[in-house]
Amino acid sequence: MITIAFEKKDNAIYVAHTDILRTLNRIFRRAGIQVNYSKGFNRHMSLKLSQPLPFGIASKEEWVTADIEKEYSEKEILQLFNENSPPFLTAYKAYNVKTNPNLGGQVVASDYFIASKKAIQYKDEILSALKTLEYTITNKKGIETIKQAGKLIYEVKVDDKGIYVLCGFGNNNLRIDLLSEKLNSLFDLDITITDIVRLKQYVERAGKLLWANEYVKSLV
Amino acid sequence: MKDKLDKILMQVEKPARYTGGEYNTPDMTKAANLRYCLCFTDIYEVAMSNLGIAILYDIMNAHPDIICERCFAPWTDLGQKLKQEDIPLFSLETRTPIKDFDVIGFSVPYELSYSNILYMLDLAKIPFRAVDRDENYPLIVGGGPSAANPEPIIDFFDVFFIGEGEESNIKFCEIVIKHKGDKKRILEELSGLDGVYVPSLSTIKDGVCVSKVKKSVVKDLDSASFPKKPLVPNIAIVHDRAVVELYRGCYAGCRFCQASFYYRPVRYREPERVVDIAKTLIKNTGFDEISLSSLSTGDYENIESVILQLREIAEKENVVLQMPSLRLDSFNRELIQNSRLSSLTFAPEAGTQRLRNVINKNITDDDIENSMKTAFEIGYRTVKLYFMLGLPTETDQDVMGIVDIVKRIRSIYINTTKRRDISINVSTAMFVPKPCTPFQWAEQISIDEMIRKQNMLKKELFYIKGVRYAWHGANDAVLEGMFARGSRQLSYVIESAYNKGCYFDSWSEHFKPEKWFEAIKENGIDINDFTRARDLNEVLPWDFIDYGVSKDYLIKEYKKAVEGKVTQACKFKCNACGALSLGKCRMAVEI
Repeated sequence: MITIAFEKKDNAIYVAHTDILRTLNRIFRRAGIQVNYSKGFNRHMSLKLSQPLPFGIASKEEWVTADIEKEYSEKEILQLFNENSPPFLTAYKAYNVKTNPNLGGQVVASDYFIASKKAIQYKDEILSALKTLEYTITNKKGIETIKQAGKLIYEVKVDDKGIYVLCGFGNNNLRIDLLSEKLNSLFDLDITITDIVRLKQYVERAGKLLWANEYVKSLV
Repeated sequence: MKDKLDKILMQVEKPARYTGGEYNTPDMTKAANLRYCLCFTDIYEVAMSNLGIAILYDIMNAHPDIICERCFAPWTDLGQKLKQEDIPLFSLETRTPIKDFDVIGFSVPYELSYSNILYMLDLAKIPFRAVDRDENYPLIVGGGPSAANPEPIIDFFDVFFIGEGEESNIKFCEIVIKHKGDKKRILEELSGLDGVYVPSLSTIKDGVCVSKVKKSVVKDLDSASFPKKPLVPNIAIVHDRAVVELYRGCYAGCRFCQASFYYRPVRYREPERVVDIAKTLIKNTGFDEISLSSLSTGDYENIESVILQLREIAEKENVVLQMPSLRLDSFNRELIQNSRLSSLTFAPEAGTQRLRNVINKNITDDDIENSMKTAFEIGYRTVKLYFMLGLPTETDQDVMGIVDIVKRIRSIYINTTKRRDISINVSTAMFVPKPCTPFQWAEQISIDEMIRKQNMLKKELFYIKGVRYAWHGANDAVLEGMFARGSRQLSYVIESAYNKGCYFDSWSEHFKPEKWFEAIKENGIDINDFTRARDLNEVLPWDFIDYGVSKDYLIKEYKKAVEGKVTQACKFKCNACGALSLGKCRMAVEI
């Protein structure tokens, strides 16, 4: 089993999560990497992705785990991956792991950078607002739920480039795109979804956040 | 423009349709003397499934002096945004406004996409009519299946390719490079080429072109270039798989089928090359499905050996081999065994043997029964059946024949399997007489008559358990019929209809028949002039095109149709249709 970290950039922000999965499928097939298949009627390549990103957001750290028998060196697998991927997906780290890290289920928080030159003007207000921030989400049936964003925001930093937020998601689902919309409405920041980049992902271990990279490394 | 575009892309459905960046994209930075924008009058998912587009894109980009980019009709949401933001229509690869290219080449796949030519020109800020465009505009060229009669849209083009574009497009580009900037000289030199129609230099008599244009064909398909590194889309498309073309042309000679006659002579790709291409495509694309393409795949001489070899490769590579739809008379247990038992698709086209003889669909009731029995024994329980309504000489008895076939298939299933859980999906299309077919002189029935026949079927099929019935619209069929056999005057109808808001007419949610009928009326057109039966001696708007298949042969076939006589498929004996004049024909060589 191999777990690969890759960057999702440029036009990849316009490619939905399911299409990214299809693209990864094709990358492995073109690269000649023999990935195991499911055994059902509609057999599919056994690939596991980390948490899906909202449409329009780039990422410096995405993870895919492929169920393969053969062990590749990191250099070898990165070369195979990058030679066979479209320009918007670039792998930069790989680990041969003993068990599936199940990052889709394990990741509980992410670091984001929200580009906004105006943010620095509202630095103190943003820091204070984020502690108690609430936003409303409406589901397909039109039912509205108020989300207490403040509880899930672990760290915030604002500088002249924008806002850095470390926030939780998962079952309590804090959506960075909706959080940005809320900030826009409060401070007139002109943030669009394409201004957001995911920087890192975290799992929870012993009540603390552990960087996904360290977690995957521990499974080698 | 880039920033503005980035902003609006997030506001439209599936922005990846417009961003390019697919795997296998050729080098767009090479020093080239010609920039060609290949356009398609439908959305990305349809365009990227079109093999013709893939072939032309590959051939042109392989040329050291040409850069070929793509532009497909943007969906209505982006179209509106582009207009609001005053952003000209752009290419996918480099986001260059398409009006900045040297050549814009439209592939026009069907009549109901004509309004989209104007939609794309409008978004590109290019005048619709060739006479209104000076040297500052790119050359606008057209081609594709609708080239069998380009007259209704010819006023919008500087040049139109008749036939297959692989060779003529490259010759065309080389002439454009040679005389770049001198439109007049380019057009003069082009007018002598096979497969190239230059409307501004053609002679018109009584509103009809009389300057002969010979259809161009790829003479040797086996050695012809085939895209080995096609673009791999980043989003799901209609045919999301690797496709290998087996052969062009068709032996069968169904009298309603334009493709069968238009793509003659029959030219083969040898089985070894088919298998070799398939292997290369799997490796170079990573698609998890592969399929074979041709007009009647079951008629390919080596189909069994090719399928067996491909099945072995597919299994090894964990790729699904999509079985082609087969003619009932070429249905074969060996071919479908071990395939995934999803559903089987057959096209008897007509409900009675008499009418099948008229249309020369050489399948018998026995063929239908035997094939179904085989399929049910293997384990199939879903059958899709395609028929046509409004065929020449059709009576109500023929329409009811469809119901009989459905009932018979149901009883065969029950008798074979002792079960009743069959699912039969019946679909009817309306017959549209097309140029370059024996039925080019036939009448197209009226909208009322079409609806009456559909209602007859709806009523009868409703009571048969396990049967679902779907039908195509009557309004679209009549418009398609009008344009298929239309003349130059129809370009004004297309322009009026577009100005009234008609585009994406092949998408039911955007089709506005009332606007089309308004436009037809306002331009003083009587639709019956185009749907009526034609006299065999009448001069037809497309008579100036030499399709290879002779008019005498088509007349002979039309007369045989009326008499209910069949013509045997030319797989067994050359019927001397005339296509041999354009190049070698598979069977004609061997007799």
